[in-house]
Amino acid sequence: MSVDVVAQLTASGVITGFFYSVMAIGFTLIIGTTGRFHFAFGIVYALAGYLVFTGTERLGLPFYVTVIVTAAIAAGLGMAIEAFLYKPLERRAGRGALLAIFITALGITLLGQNLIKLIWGPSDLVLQSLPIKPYSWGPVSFVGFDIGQVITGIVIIAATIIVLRTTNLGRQILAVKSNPNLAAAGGLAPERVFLIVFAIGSAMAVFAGMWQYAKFTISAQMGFAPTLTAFVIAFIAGLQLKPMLLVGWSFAIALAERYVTIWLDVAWSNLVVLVGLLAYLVLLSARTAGLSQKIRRRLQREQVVA
Amino acid sequence: MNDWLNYVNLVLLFSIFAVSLNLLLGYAGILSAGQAALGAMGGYTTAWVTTSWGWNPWLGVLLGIAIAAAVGLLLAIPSLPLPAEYVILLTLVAGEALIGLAIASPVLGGVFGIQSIPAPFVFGIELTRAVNWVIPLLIGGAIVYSICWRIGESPFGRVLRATRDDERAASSVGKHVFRYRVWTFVITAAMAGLAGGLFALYLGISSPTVYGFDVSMGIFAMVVLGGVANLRGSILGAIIVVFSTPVLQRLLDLPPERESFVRIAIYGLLLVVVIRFRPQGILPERHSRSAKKISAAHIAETHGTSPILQAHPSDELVLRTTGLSKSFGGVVAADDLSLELHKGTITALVGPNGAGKTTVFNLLTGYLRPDRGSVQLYSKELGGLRPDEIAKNGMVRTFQDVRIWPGMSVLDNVAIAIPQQAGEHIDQLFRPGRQVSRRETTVLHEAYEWLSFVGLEDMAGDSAGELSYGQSKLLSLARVMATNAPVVLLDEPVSGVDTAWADRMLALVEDMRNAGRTICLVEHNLHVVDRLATRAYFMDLGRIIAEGTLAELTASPELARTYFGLRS
Repeated sequence: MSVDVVAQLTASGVITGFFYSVMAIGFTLIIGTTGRFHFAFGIVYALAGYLVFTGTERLGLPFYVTVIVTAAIAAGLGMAIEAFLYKPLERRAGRGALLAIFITALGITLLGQNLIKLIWGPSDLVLQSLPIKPYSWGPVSFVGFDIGQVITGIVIIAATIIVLRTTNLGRQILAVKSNPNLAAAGGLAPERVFLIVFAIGSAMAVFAGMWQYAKFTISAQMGFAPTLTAFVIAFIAGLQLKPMLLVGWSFAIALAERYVTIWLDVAWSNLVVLVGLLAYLVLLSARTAGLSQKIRRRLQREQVVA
Repeated sequence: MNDWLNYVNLVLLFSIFAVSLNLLLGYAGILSAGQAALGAMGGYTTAWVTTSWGWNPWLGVLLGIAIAAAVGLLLAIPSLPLPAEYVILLTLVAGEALIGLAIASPVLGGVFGIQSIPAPFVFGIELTRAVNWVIPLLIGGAIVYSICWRIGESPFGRVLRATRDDERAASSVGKHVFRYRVWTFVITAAMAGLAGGLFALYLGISSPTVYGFDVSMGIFAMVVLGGVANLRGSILGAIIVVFSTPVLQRLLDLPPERESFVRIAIYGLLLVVVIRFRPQGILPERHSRSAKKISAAHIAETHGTSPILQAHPSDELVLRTTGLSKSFGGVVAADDLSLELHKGTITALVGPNGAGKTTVFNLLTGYLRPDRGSVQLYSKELGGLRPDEIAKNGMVRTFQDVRIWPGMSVLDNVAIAIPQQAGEHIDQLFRPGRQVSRRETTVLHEAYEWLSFVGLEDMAGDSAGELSYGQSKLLSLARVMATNAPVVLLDEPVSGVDTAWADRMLALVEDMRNAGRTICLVEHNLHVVDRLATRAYFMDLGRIIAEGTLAELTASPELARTYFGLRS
């Protein structure tokens, strides 16, 4: 294994890390604040890819204009899902709403995927009007879209940090996240904040995906895998709305997926996220079961006996 | 004809998937999005050992069941102690990763999968045509249905429903929630493995699309449409979903490819609409009718011996805590608490809101782990034990917010608390003989006795959710009595109850004491404390600041000022 290979894997891991980071921030904004297991995040991501395709390839609009319009549509779609589907379910089912919301999200996903295939056809699409510009930097080669991915990632991460830390909106989101009832008592409207995070989170999926749409093919199922990865990152970060923590885990997973291929066949990189999640859950349930405390107690008892 | 039989076979195959998923989702309340991927374990195992090693296909199916069960166990152990979201997440990710692995592995045939699996034989008949498969699949489906029915409608299933509706309440009456969940997860994973193996043999191919996410979703649609926690509903769901294919083909007259998109889009829409407007599905969950039988039997019989224990008044020390401490961050909720409970007496914990009284109950019963200190029940150390272990060791509690199971019958709410039920053990459920049903009869009679003790026997067959607040408090009392635990902790037994019910409640608590039970109660109402308790601990800010009889406590000028609201 040469240094060049490692450099290339690192570079592509970093690029993917920025993609995962934006997905994870967008998703954590939603699940962290509202507690909704919003599995339909993936279908919003996929549908946005098709809208970008229609905008640039069919209507001939400039790429950036299309992306911004699409992000606005995605934001509206996210708000509609919250307002018309999730919120009424939670009102009715209360504590048991997780099942209802998850099944609703699955239903939206099935409906969306198949409507996409009926409208745009079952074959994968390509954004042909965007030229692929290859670059190389030492041993590392990449394309122009990758630069876009990195810049978009940095902008979104920085914007999230600034908004959460300094603006009134950020404070409202954090207040509602930590305790919706208390926030409501303090005069904040959690329902309004829920709608806002659904809008922002859904738009972020589009900004995360724009360079993926350009670089790879567009398919109805393409939202599934990155959404799952974003879910795992959000949960490993404890659903905390801490952008740098999410970024850290995004990079760890993206790089692990690449580095695994040094030793193992590419097929096994599919298992990286699963193994990471399993390891995390083992630690978490051991802590929940108080295993470390039990072990400490046993040790103490043995010392007393000795 | 053959086409039509093909759909019948598919209904039978998917019934195995759907019925077993319903046991998991409907009865146990565990959301697994990876049933089709567990099916893939069975299917790929069968395909691999028959094509590469020349095994008998049925042996392949058996090995596939074992592997699916093993993978199920691997997923269950880390995720089931955690909130439900983690189970969904893990099963989703595992499904995606395992199918992804199959797609990326040349030895498993990549996207094309393993093809030309040889047809199996039954009694010398090669199963090549759809008609040959009906009987074997019917037998497989019947076996799975019977096992799921036996588990779901047994005392084991009663515990499953209880853990689904309120996990803490289930552990408070001595049920090790994790054990029930893991068993159910592994058994249903094995069933998915069976369905997957049969599916591969039936199709002669095991490929990623056969077990893809869409298939998992189709199974979900069957369970949700048919009715969650109704096994027959899942068969109905399988019939509807499977037969929607030919029906829609006729009706819409679309090319097959577009037809499948329309069909799956309709499933998606149906899921959204059903969950919104008819969440119970077509066939709703049924409630046990055993209550009616028991009450009829009881009216016929003469009343048996009262379940109340004989009194053995003594001054024996039953429970002792020393140095019990707990803090949350910087807040000290319990500070170096030393308590004693004596047999056959009532002790009260009094003090202002937030003094840490309920925290004491949570520490004693294992819902919170103390940072320091010990809890000894009959000189046995309880520190570090789970709530269900503490309940089995003889100390049970009620909850301030009652926590009965509103979806279960009044009788079942009590029956579940009775210890040592043969039908709560998976192995005993499938042993020949009648010990499970005989024990269940005595359990239901005993539960009925406890209901008579609190005066709710006329409502035995009603759903517990229909009870008034006062009645549900009485029910929770019957429930702790039914555990037969000698030490009972009552968290605000009469708060929010009107006077008539409160009097009845207090009389019952005295009966319990007279029967030799050791009682500790948290109560704000000083009249109640005065009437019942021989001894009281006064708590504030996590510390015990005084102890004695209520008269002694109220006589203290400082307490009178700060707590009892008297101005000195």
